[in-house]
Amino acid sequence: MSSSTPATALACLVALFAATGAHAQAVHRFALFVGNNEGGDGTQRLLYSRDDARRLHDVFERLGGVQNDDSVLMLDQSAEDVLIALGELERKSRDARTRGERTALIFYFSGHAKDGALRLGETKLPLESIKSRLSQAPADVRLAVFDSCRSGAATRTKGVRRAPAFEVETDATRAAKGIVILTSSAADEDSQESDLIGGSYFTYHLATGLLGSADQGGDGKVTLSEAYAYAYERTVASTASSAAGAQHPTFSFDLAGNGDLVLTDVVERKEGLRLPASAPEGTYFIIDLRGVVVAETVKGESERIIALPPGTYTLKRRLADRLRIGVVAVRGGALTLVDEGQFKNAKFSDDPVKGTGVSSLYARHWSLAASGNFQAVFDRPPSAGGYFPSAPLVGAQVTMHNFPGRNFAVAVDVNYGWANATAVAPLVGSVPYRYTLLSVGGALLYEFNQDGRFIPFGGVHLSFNAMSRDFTSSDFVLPAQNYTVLTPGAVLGLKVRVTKNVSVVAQARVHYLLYNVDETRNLGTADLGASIEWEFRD
Amino acid sequence: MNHLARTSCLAVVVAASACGTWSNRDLEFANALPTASDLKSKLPVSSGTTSPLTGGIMRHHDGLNVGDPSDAYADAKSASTSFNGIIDFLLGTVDSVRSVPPTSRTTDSRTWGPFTDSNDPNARFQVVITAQEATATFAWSLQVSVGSGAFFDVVTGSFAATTGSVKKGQGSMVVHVKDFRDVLKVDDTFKQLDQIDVRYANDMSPTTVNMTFTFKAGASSGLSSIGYDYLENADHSGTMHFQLTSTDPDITVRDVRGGWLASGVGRAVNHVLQGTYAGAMITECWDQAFAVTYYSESWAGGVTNGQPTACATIDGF
Repeated sequence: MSSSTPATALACLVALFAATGAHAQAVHRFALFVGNNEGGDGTQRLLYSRDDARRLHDVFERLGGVQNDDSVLMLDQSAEDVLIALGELERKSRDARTRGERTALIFYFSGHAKDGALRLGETKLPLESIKSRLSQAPADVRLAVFDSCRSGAATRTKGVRRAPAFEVETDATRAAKGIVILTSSAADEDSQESDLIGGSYFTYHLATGLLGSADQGGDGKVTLSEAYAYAYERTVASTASSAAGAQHPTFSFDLAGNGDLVLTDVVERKEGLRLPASAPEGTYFIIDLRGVVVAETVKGESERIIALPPGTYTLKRRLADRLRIGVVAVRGGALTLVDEGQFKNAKFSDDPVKGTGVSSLYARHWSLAASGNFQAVFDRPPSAGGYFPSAPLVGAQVTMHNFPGRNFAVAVDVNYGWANATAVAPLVGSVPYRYTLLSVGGALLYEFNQDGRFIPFGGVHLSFNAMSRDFTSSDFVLPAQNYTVLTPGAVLGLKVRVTKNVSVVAQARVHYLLYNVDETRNLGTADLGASIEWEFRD
Repeated sequence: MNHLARTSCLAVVVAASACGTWSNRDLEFANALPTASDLKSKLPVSSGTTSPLTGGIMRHHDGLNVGDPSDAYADAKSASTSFNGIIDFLLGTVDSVRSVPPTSRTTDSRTWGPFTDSNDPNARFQVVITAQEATATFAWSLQVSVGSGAFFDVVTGSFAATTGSVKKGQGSMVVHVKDFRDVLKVDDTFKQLDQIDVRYANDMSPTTVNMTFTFKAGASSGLSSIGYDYLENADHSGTMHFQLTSTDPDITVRDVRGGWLASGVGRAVNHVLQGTYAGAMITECWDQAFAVTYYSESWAGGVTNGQPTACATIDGF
């Protein structure tokens, strides 16, 4: 087994594969792409692991020679499900080899890794186990890509605590043959995500390299060594100035006799953008309609082809004093020639790159809500001798989201309620009164699926209730009566995001209500209501 | 802090925060205290065409003609006003207490006060109501303390509530004038009294109020007692009866009985029961305008104007 720094690894790889050349079309490929944003206990939810898996899955199906029947995309699945899917692909590969075909098995994972295991929700897949499984898989070439890490405290990185990273096996004495392992970061590094590219840096650069940016040979084919070299260089460059520090992908291999592996063929499909040799050199960013960078390429002296699915894209070049921006349409089955001369100059402030904005959902921010509720009291109705009436409430709530941590929220609310009711005492009969309630409360909430349209939430709520009743009988003059009490409770709700900043919220609260004047009674309240919420965030 | 400790802590905080005056039972206690409006007499009100009420219960006129303003109505109205004023005085403190929540509660009692008497900073008063267990009967007292002395009863009362009816029931109270007239700042009128007894019932028709004023021996007014009975029917017709006992040898006991219909039409009989003029009686009837329709003096040579048929029929006469 050989491994390690990019320079030495690539040198060995090129030397090793020189004899056999690269033949993408000669290998029957099977691929399993796994993405899971959840890492179970002790981890924070990732934002783009599923998108990463989708991205690689799409690239390999479009350009990598992986047939749809031979590729599996697994999002938020358990370790057991992943192993079952892997077993099925292994069976197919074995069958293909029986037929005399050369096969390749590709395993891609994006998600949490911690304490030597890939984390798939609450389930774990020990790294040693999956590596051993892949090493023994019945395929001529096995390619494993792990976009995961153990991580530090930074929220934009994967993982949550510092611990020995899982080791990329570099033991040269291993018996396994024909396996390549790529990881997104070195042993002591975090893997990072970005809103602007809507994914992890490593997968983004690997994918954009596979689209053609990594084609150093200019033959329209991106080999494994080209893709890794490109992904390494761009990942390091992209993360060098990040708060978490530079991220260095790693590469280990044991491919003696197998030759270099062509991963994608960007010209065969003839669909995408063609930057002619005459186009100015430099870095071109390709931005989709969302404002997310889906690819980038460093244009040199030669022509550059970027394979893209049909759609409308904005291309951006960044010069020292301005931006150059153009819009191009990619049609199915055609390469669109990019004429940089048609680009327009733009200010830096008009940068079309907006990003997914998903991370802003997880950024600490305020919201203000106006609500209407109905409070029912778990007691006999006042007309039957109960103490407190049910009443409609109007109120407002201020919430700080993602405080004290991601998905948590702290809220303060004020509600005012009123009702006309009748008190009934056995010896007196009915005495009408006007009821008012002023409630000031606080809540600690947990919001699920903040990046979705439907956001369930729940938590604990504590309110201070001040209740008053003024008797309105003209023939029985009585002083107003008051009661104050803290009411601990719980809240459950569902927020439906209507626009980026506006949501409609339905929620239910239940509280314990202690009454202790005439007697000690354990009562309760249930508040059902709806509110309109405005979130103050970019 | 473990779960049990946190829960216990929260329970303590919740319990400590729970306080107030929200009490259905308070309504029943407050209901036991009589209000002045419960006890006041309500005579038909003059439309303004009657003579001014210049007399009192001792007022006496002779020889009224038909069409003259009725002296008997004026006497009755004057007596009503006087008694209502006394009721206001007696229950003023109770009414003011009822306007605030109880100061303290037990299962069977409520206490308002002690409060400082605004008329006498040296005196404090409190009202205590005690419910009789398992019954609808309440005993209450207005107590006063002077200086650092112990509280003593000024007014004691009881009320038997009629279930399910606001302010309906039967009650009584005793004003122990003899016990406080010399230690509290009171009106000169009270200095002539020993005790006032009041009984009332408003849980049926007619409603009734009975009062007895017992004067101390040698009262300057010459009176030894006044009895007062008031009855009001559901249609606002009613009767008023009071009896004055004095040391006047000519009119030692005088009985005055008046009655009226809801329209205002009424009659009164002024009857000397004891004294030199015992047996003397004046009967007077009036119309809706409170003008005399019939006037008759019973003694020999007495004046009679009008016909008895001009008198309306009123129960009790």
